[in-house]
Amino acid sequence: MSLRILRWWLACWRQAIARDLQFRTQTVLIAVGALVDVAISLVPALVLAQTARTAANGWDESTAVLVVGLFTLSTALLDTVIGPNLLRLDSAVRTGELDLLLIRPIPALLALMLRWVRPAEATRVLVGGALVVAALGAADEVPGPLDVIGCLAMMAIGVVAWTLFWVNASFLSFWWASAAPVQDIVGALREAGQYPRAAFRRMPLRGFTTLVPALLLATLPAQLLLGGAPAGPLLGGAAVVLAGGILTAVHWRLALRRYDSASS
Amino acid sequence: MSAAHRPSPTLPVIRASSLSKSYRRHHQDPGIRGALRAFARRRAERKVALAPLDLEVAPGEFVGLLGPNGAGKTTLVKLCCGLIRPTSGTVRVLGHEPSRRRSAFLQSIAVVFGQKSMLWWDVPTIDSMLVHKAMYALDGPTYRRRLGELIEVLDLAEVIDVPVRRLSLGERMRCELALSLLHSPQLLFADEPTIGLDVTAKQALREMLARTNDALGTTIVLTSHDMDDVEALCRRVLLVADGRLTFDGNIASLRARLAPRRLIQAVLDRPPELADLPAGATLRDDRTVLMEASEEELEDAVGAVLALGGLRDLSVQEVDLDTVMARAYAGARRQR
Amino acid sequence: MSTLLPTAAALVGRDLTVTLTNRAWVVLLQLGAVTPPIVSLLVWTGAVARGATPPVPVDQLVTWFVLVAMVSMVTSSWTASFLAEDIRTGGLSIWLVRPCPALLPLLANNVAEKAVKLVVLLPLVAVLALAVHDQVHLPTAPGVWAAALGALACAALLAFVLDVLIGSLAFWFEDVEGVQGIVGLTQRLLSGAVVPLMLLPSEVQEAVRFQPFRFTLAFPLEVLTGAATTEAADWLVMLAWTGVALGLLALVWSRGVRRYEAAGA
Repeated sequence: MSLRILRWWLACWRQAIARDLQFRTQTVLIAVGALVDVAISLVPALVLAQTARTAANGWDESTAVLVVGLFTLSTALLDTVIGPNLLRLDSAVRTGELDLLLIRPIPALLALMLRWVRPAEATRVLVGGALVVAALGAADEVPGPLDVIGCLAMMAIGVVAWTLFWVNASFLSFWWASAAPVQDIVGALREAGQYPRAAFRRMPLRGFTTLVPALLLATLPAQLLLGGAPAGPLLGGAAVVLAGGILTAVHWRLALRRYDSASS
Repeated sequence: MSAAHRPSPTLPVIRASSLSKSYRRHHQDPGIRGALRAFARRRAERKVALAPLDLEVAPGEFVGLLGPNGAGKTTLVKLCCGLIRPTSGTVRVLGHEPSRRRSAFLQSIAVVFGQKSMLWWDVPTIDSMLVHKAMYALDGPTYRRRLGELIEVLDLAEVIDVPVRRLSLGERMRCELALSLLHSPQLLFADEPTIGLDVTAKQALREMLARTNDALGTTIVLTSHDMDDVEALCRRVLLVADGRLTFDGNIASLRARLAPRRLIQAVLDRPPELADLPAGATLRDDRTVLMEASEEELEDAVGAVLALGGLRDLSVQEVDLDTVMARAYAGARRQR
Repeated sequence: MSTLLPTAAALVGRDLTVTLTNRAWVVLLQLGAVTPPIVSLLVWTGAVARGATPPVPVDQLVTWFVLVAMVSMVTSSWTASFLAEDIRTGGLSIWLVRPCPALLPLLANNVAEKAVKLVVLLPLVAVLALAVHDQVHLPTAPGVWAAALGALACAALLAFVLDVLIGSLAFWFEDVEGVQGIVGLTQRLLSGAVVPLMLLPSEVQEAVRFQPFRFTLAFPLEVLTGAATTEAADWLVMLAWTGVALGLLALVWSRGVRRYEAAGA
């Protein structure tokens, strides 16, 4: 079964790449737009960092760039694979396009989240990587291999955790007819994830690592990369993923039931 | 009271004199080389959408504008509405120059587009009417009286309060027509209004248009591909083909001019010998003989068919309107 | 034109009705509008709590973030793509055959939607202001309020006209989206939407002081929060840009409509 799903997903990728190659101008525009977005998001992070230099336990520009770089890597993955699906979930529910997914021999939830791919967004991976390398170079830091593994593991957990949050927020479309602007709210909340940990006081920190796990995308991974203790964040993140997974499974069942009863 | 001034009964509603429209079309070779070449020097060609024509439409007329796609009939309508300017010649509609789009002019005409809707999609028709009330400066009593008349004439009582997106296509066209007539325009342009409607809806809309022309005296210019529309409604037909006005008269004389012939159809009880067939006869299937003949030749033609023997069925009909039109278009093309 | 005002009123009324039937959508949209300033507030007050010293007084910064959602909404405009589509598909024709300026329904839609959004947004912003009330300082002098409202009205007009100008490019170019994207990004940066202009280094602030996008968001906010640069020169430049934009619109529109040959049937 999983081999079949994998082959199906590879086919989705092939189709997406072929399409992107055909509509070249659009692809280039999306890629360039993604790069410009990164540049723009560096501005507030750098401005904040300049101010925060003087703070106790403050941080400097290199840390800020590191977090933005890791954030870019995580969000590149999210926006290539998950974003295209969730952004059209609302119209798929309203127009009944969801039916097409439900009759396929692929688990509906997986199909819903993975069917569409946007390879053009993946160009940000290069930019994110460059930012991370530059930041580490400027700070003269060479992370140890365990730190790197911890960071990558944390990012993986963060991506899954945010995906679950995003999916649940998107499911509002099953309950409300005009839930499309929810995506704006989710996108705005995600932006919190590009600031270093020191910028958050206790309550916001709790909120943004559990209910709205934006800080798991880059903030905590950056901490681990710079030598922070991995156990706490990794275990906490795993717990968030577990809770989110259970919530999502239940929510999905309820949502499907509602979708069935609503369609004529 | 509507701000539109009423012209004297003898003044034509539309008067066009040597009216013509042409466009500059740029040609570009395909591919990168073509694009580069086009950048440096573009091949411009003058395309004549409408060759100079003269036209007069009197008040109260119901005119049908016929022609194949790209013939120039839409161009003519747009020139009369003021949407485009003439390349040469003049056109005056209700005494105004349309392309100036003066308020007084716009308040005396109405346009119903078959493909584009004037109604706002997400509110009931009545809300759109209120906006038009303000736009065309109708006072309260006039508005209410007009609304009442239209609801009755166009049978809108059930649909006027329903959001437009929930109406069927036929109901929507009636509401479109009502909205366009609210301000009692002197001239109505109907651009393919029956497109996409089923037979009943078409019939209903045709009745409405006829009533509008009869009871209210509105001059109507109808553009249509549907021959039945034109035949049912228009006393005068303008044929536009390849940018030229090739015919201006009534349906009957169009028929007479182009197809003064009858079609004889005879069904025999056994297939005839090909050698026995009269000149000009064809076989639709092995037992059905078709033959066209002019009025003078009719007697001889029927006699020749009878002589084949074994007659089971015989009919003599007018050549149908679609064939007439097809020949008219072909004829116009041959003339160029 | 004696029909102009009643027609405008009728159009606004209709757009109000339509927007009010999509209440849930408006509420969610405004929630989305207050979220970025909330995030910024959390992050900046967090840094300040650790002893960071921003280049402007903290209270000014907090007041900025509380008010930015409101000012941003009032000066927003979304017409460009709809206008471009109408021009491309020939939908503009239905307005050209009516005795009503074709820009009037766009303006009416802008005003009507903003009215509804304002009613929804006000309580949200009030709650936010209450949460940080000891750091929010609104001006007390009525003169300042009058100036702020004037700047706000001018900013809204300028933003609307710029948006319509971009949409009008469709009279000449097939694809307006690319230009729209670039202008949108530039506007986000230069208007202070991404980060308040007063936080940028002073050389950068000087460089961006007189560009038009500043006057679509940052300037009214600066008047309201009492930030540094609100001298006579700024007011003059704002009025000048608005005048230029209006003049350009009149020119572009008349040329554009003349070029417009309604597509299709």
